[in-house]
Amino acid sequence: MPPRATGSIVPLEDGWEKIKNEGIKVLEEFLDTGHIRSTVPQNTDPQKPRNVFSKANYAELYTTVYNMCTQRTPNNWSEQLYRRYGEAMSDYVQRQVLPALKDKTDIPLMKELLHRWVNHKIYVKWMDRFFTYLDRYYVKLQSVEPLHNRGYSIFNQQVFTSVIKDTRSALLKVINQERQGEHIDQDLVKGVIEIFIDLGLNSSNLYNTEFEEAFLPATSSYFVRQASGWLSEDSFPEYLRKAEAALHAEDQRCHNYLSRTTLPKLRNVVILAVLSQPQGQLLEKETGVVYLLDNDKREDLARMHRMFSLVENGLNPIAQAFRQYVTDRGNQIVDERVEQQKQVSSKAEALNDPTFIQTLLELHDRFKGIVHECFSQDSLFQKSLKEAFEVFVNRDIGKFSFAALMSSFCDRILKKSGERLSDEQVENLLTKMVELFSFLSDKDLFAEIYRNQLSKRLLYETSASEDAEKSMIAKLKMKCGAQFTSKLEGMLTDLSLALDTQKDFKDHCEQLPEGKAALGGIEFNVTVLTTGFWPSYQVQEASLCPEMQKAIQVFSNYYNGKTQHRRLQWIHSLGQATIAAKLNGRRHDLIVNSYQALILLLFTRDESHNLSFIQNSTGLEPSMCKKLLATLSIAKFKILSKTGDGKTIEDDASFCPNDGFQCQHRKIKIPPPVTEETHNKERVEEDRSIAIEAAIVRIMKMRKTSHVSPCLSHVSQFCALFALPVAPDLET
Amino acid sequence: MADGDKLKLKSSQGEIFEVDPEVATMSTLIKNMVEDSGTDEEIPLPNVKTAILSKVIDYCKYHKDNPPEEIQKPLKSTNLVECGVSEWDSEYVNIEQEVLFELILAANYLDIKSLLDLTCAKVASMIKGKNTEEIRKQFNIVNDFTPEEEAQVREENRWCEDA
Repeated sequence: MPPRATGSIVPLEDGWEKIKNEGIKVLEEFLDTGHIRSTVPQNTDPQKPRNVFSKANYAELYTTVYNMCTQRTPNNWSEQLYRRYGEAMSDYVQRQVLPALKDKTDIPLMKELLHRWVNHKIYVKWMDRFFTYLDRYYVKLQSVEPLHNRGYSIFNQQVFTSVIKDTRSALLKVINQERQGEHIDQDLVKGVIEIFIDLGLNSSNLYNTEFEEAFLPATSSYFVRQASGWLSEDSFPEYLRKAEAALHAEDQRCHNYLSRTTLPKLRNVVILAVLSQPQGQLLEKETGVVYLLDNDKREDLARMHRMFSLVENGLNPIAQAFRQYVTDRGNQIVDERVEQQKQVSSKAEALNDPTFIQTLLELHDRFKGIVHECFSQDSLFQKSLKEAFEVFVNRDIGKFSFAALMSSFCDRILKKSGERLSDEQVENLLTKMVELFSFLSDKDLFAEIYRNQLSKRLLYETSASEDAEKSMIAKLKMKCGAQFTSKLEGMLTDLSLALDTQKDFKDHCEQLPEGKAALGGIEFNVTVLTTGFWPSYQVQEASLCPEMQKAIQVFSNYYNGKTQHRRLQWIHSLGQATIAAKLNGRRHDLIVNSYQALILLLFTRDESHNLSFIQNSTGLEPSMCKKLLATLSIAKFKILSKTGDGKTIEDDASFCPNDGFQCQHRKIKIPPPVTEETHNKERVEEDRSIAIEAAIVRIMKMRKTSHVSPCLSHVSQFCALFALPVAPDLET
Repeated sequence: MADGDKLKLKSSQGEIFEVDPEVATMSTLIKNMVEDSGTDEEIPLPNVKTAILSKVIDYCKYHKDNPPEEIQKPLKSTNLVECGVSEWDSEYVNIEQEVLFELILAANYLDIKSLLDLTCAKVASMIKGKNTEEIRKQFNIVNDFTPEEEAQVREENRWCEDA
């Protein structure tokens, strides 16, 4: 201990007398009566606490203690002063504090206790300052309680212990009153709660064991009672409203006057009592999940999600109910469709009717909206939605598969002839369509049909917008990968390349010595397509007219000169010709395909031909020939008149130009015969099994040996990359 | 008292020093005294003489904005600068023994930890490496042991010299 400068020694009792009279008595008088000696200068700022001691008093008391503690033994009074510090406080507490608390309960007890505690803190603060020199050496060397803690311990042991039980009951009572809607003095409660915390001296033990351990069970039993009342009286949404309000009130309570550490425990207790335990019964209520979905109670649905997300695994049964609900709604729509299809026979009608797909899109829209708005995009519910749609979107619905319906739906949107939609509407519909498509297992079948329809749109120039086509392909690519859309993209590229080729060919022809005459005097354009990208077309041999043959020859020469190792195959069924005709004294431009053109060209030379002549001249196959003739003589535009009955082409029929033809349009587009769909399920399945076999071989190569089930899952993953459905095929 | 007003420190001889609050409150004692008091009373320091208080204030002024580094212990050298003490501090305690001791007392009384550390380190550096005789000479201590007593003390503290 640092030595003290020489000076007069302070005897213990003299020094103590001074401390007692100038310090302790003054302080106690202030606490008891609020009296402060007039000699103590006061701060003008009323915000700050009043000064109980002047600086001169303070310095004198500090110096006295300092001197008494720095005198050499036997005159060092540290130990005595430390003891008397505690004794003075104990004495005060026994004399003034305990009698004041005696026989008090409830609010008066809380008020008096809080008042006494606030005083005690002032007591400790000043004593601590006067005796602070003890803290610096004596407390450390002797390893005794620091002065501040000692002061708090005295209050705890001599005062608080004796009233703690009554205080706790008073607190629980008043909190209960507040829960029932009464107004309470929150500052008082907060102050008393702080005593538990302060007296714990930087540890929450006292608060935890003496308050929280009683508070939490009391809370629990309160809410268990509440819950059972609500359960019998209230509807599901009303119950949840009350539960949420209760939870909110408890949060607020904790914020207002409890320790922050209580919050998670308090929430747990409430959640357990009002949500976890009654969940089973709650969900069974008639006003449960199905009711809310039926009536589109979005606010309540959102609240239900909020509340049960607080319960461990609490959302699982709800997600399950949600999935079931969506599945039921979907199945209902599909059932109605199947029923309706039994009455409809026309294929075009079945495929072109968009209402079914539209209904499903709306269904998806609605539930997606609910997942978004009410279930905060919860992945659990997104999964349920997906699983539900996968159930009914992959049902067998008879002749026209979902894949075909979906593709036709797109076709309708993307075609020129379809209803007029703004770019935004088209984009919007396509986006939704692709979402619905993503639930489909037969993605490859869809791709096949889509490719066919796209090819028609592109080749017959019925596509409404190239941007929309590209946007749709981009969406499919996002969902299924580049492999899935490579052919579709190839088709679009082909067309833009073909434009360049056409221009180039035109230039080429002008360079030729004969000029345009080289093409046999006809306008001639060629669109070169890449075999793999497009659907395969039937090639029907025919004897072309000399002009055509000549033009084809010119183009072949040109093309072979430009490229190497490429084979041109002419698909006349896709060809288009415009023929000028004079019928019934009026001129018409007839737009027909190449074969139809061949037939019509026969009639420039001779006025009447029978079937066999036409067949021989054109070199067309008989059944094909009949179909073509039907388009010219039986269908809407009867360019040719035919002998015999008007409904079929008889073997002995003969034809001549129809002199009675009447049509107010000059330009007439004559539809070509309906060709067999080139896509069919068998082909798709064939491709599919090849892809799956390839996948199995690759995986077996990678793994050398494999058990069936892991192999199966690998193959599934592999095939999923190419948007192929697997499960049914792999079973075999 | 408005912020920035000076504090009035009064030495045991009654002399008043007007000091910036930030300087004065390096003393924990003064800091506690002015805390929420808000008056411009003089602060009496009955245990500190004018000369020493002035010296203490020098130290506090210097270190107000650049707190000293912790001194490494045990001392590596009798030269304080080699123990991480700044040149200024080292020069500051290069003073008569009598003043040094009074500074120690003042630092302890006013509760200025860094000054107490510095002054005590200075005394320690004066002892370091010296034998009993040299230490007696250094601090002017008269040997009042009888030869027997001295032998006994040496015996009891042999561990110390062996080390």
